[in-house]
Amino acid sequence: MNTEKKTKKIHISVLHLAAFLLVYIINILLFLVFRGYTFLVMWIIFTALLPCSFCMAWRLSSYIEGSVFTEKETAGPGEAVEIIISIQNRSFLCALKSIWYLNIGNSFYGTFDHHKLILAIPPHGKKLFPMNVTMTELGRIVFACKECSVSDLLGIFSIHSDCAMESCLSILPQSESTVQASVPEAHSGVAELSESSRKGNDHSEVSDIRTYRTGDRPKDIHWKLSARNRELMVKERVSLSGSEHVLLLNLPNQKADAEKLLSEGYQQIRELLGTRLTIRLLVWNQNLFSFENYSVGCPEELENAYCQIYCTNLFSHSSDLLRQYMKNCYPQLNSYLCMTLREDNAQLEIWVNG
Amino acid sequence: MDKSHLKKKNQPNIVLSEGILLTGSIYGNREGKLANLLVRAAFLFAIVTGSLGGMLSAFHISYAKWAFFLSAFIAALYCASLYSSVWWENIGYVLIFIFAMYTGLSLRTYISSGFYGILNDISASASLFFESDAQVNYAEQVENHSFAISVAMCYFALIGCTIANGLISRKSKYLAVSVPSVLFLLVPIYLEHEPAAGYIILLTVGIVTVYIHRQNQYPCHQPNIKTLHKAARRHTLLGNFSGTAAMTALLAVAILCTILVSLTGLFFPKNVYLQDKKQSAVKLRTMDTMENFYLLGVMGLMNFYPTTGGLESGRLGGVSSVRLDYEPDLTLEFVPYTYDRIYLKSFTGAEYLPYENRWSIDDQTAYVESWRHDTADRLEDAFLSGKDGYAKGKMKITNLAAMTGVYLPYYSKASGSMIRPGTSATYTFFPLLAEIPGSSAMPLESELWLDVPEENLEAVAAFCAEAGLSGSPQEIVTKLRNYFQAEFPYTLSPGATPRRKDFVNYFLTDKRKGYCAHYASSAVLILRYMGIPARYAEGYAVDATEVAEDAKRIEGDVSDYYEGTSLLPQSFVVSYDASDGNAHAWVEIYDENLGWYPVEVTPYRTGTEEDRTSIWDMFARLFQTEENIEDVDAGTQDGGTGNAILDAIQSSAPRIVFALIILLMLVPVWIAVRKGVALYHYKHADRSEKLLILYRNMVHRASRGQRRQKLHSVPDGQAIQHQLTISVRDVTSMKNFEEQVAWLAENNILTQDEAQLSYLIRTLNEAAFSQREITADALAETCKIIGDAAH
Repeated sequence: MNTEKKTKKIHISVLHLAAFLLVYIINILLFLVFRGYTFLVMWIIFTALLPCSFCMAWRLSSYIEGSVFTEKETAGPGEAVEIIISIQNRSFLCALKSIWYLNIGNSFYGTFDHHKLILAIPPHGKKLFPMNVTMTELGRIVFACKECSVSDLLGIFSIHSDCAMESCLSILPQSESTVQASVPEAHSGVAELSESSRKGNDHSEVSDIRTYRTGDRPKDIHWKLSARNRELMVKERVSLSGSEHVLLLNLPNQKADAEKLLSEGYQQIRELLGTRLTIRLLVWNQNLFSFENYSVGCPEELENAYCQIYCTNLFSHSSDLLRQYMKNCYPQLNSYLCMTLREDNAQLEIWVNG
Repeated sequence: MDKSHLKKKNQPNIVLSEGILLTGSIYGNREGKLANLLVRAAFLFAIVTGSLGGMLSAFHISYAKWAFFLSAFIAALYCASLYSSVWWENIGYVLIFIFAMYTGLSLRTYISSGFYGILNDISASASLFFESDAQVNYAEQVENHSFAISVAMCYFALIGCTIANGLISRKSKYLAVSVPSVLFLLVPIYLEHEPAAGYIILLTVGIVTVYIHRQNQYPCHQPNIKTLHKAARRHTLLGNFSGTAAMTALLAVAILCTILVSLTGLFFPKNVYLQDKKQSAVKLRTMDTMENFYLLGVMGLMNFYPTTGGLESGRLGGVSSVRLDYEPDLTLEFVPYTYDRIYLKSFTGAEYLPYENRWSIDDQTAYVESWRHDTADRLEDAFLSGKDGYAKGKMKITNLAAMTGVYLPYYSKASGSMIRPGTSATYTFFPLLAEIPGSSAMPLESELWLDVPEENLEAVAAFCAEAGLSGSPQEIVTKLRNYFQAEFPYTLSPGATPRRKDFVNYFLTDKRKGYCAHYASSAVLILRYMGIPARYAEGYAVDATEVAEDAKRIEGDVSDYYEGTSLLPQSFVVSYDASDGNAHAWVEIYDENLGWYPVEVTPYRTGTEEDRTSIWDMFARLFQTEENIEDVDAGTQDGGTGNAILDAIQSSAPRIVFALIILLMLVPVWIAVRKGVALYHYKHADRSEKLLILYRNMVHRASRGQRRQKLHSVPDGQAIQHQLTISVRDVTSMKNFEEQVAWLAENNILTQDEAQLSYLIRTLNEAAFSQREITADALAETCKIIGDAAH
């Protein structure tokens, strides 16, 4: 149950108000001239209509809830997906017009467009608005709505309120079996993680910080943060074991290049996975100023990794100083694989760390 | 997904955003097509039956209502279906046109007879309302009056639905359909016949529904793919097609209208209202015009030739409504000498030509005699002899915008001095202020002065008998004037005389109201019939009061303008502008001693000043009632406030109080209805919703209980109010169940142990946010906790 009261704002349509006043004044004039009982009754009706209509819209705006959902969470480019916007009305009131301000776009590329969805709201039920959409680009498609407005029956008032509707859909590259990829021959013993004694044989890296749970190692407690939050916080570590191949995605900041790299890279990584390799996928995140890393051992994990990568804007993933960052963040590595774009093709290369 | 449909229509994909295409039909479902069809049919039906049926119900015309309603319903359904597709719309209208033509021709006898029957019934009511003896009557071909009207009404229902459907069109044009539908009701309402309440509801529901469809841009039919895609390209996705919503809106309007009409009928019964209501000034002023319209149709509203103040050298009956401009026609410079009206004659009518409706002076003898100035000669002689009671005056007349002609004051010899517009002439005249000494007037030569056309004899004789005219010429004139004053009201909008009707006969027998030309013309024939030589005169008449109020005093030697006896104590030269408001027709009768002298038979005109009011005054008069106007005119405003609305409020104060009491009594009914709705919700809710409803009620009750408790326990009123407002606001603004339950526990509303509270929170979260329904056991357990708290 959502007990949070919606913030409502009333907007008045001057045009519709003028139209109503015109009808109202004509009615009054007719009454004054003819003094007819019919016009008296109509006058009363028109007078009562305005507050009734407003109250109806005002009440209704409290009773409606919207949600947006997709039939699946991932899709491929060109694949048709049904997006359903559902408006639930828990009252017996209705509206012939409600506007839902939609924000549709690709959060990975940061391309968004605003749309107005105009819906009639039937009483006590759901109004579904299905849209068949096809995505042509990779990324994270977001269908969100942060504001809606309900117009009263006379169209004079519209009650604006906040809402929180959001649904995401990740568009993953389509796998093609024709592409053959292999780890460069030189990768054996080079691309693998080299054990180092510089960090006391603890080759794990901090991936997240979370609250303390029973069983956590005391050495993982982040004391400074705990002191600040007055709650025990621990560093969650991801171990870079020697059996994983470290693969860095060197995402370019151009959309078309990134699209190519992600598509072709996806194919190549899948091929690598086909050889029963386990890959530690690294992607730079400028916002965190560290590398996102994903352990990828099967295609599903690769999809999940891509979904996670899409969560951050492309421009935050690209940097010209990746080598430097790798050296700083993973000094224990001697070398690693890097998926980069060379001559308009995604190439798997071995980069020496340092 | 409707891809095939899209391909068929060859619609391009819509780019929602970069890389996101909207493909296929936007509508996944076709919800509410039938409901929308019914809604459209319903408001078509409501408008047509409300206006046509309302009009007939107002006049209490009997016919088979069920047949009318049935045909209207079928026609409305058919018309509503026309907008389902473009091709069907085109074909459908052709089909209905063919059907209407066929039925119209097949049943033309019944339809025309029914139509005439309706007109005859309306005409009968109009005659009663206008208190007119004349009644428009059409020949009905079918004996069974009701049956013919029923057939006609069924046919009109079909035509009405088709026209209304076309007017409303796809864009829900409410004004286009409201105006004609309300016009139907204007006729009975003007004639003070009100439609039955049901029809008022129907019409109002129909109009309001179309209005709200328009204002919400609600499509009357499911938009086609092209429209949807066009809108989508403008970043607007149209999903506002919901039959259930449209149906509910219609029902809501219908319920509201029914309640309001019922309440109005309860507290302001129609009969009481109609008895108490007062006519508006506008209506009073337009009644003559409307009567003309009723009797003569559009022709009754037209003036057939231009006139000056309704007069045009003896032409009669072609003026429906005299429109005065009050612009100066003549400027008179003279010395006022009498309290009586000063006449300036420009036309003399000797022979009345019935059915041609004009006065003629073609007869040579009569023409010569009409301009004879023997009376002027005798008065001049008397003045020159130096006797007291006689005078000689000069009047300079400047023609500003009047017709070319002579404008002779009584009595003058200058019959040949024509004044053209822009020129002046000075007339010497000898006013009749005392008996004329010496010999009698010259005897009459022409027989026309006693001529009454045969065509008018019957009407004139009947009138003389009705008015009881007898006695000396003076007595007859006085009786005639009084009778006109009492029975023949003055109006500037008498309506044109119908074709093939005689002006005098129509005035005396049918219309019985008019302006000076009507009275003067009729009076001439009446006086002739009574044996008094009389003739018709036209020109300008200036009252002494008008001179006193409006004339300007100018520099000039009085002796240049006037010599001799004056009835006024002071003499000075004035300039007076005579307008078309001064244009007048009067009667001259012959006396053996005096010769021809003017006689006034036109009744006094009331409300002269009303014509001079501006549009704003007219608007203000809207708010005045008949009584107020009379009070204002009489200068007595001691009754009422002068404002109809305030008076209405004052007079209906007890009713308003009564209405308020009833409204207060409705409060418990409203509460009961709300409880009933809540109970309905609860009964039809699943287990999760039931738990949430119970919990919400408990929280609300607890908040209110807490507030009352604190109010009782703490003496400082203001402080408590503040504190409690915060408390109640706190609990309603808490974002999650954890905080709410904690608050309830803190305030000892929930007294259970922590485990039970945790269980409650967990179950509430599950009920609110989980897709799964909570178990019956969980519901029972949590209900127990909530129930304890509620108690």
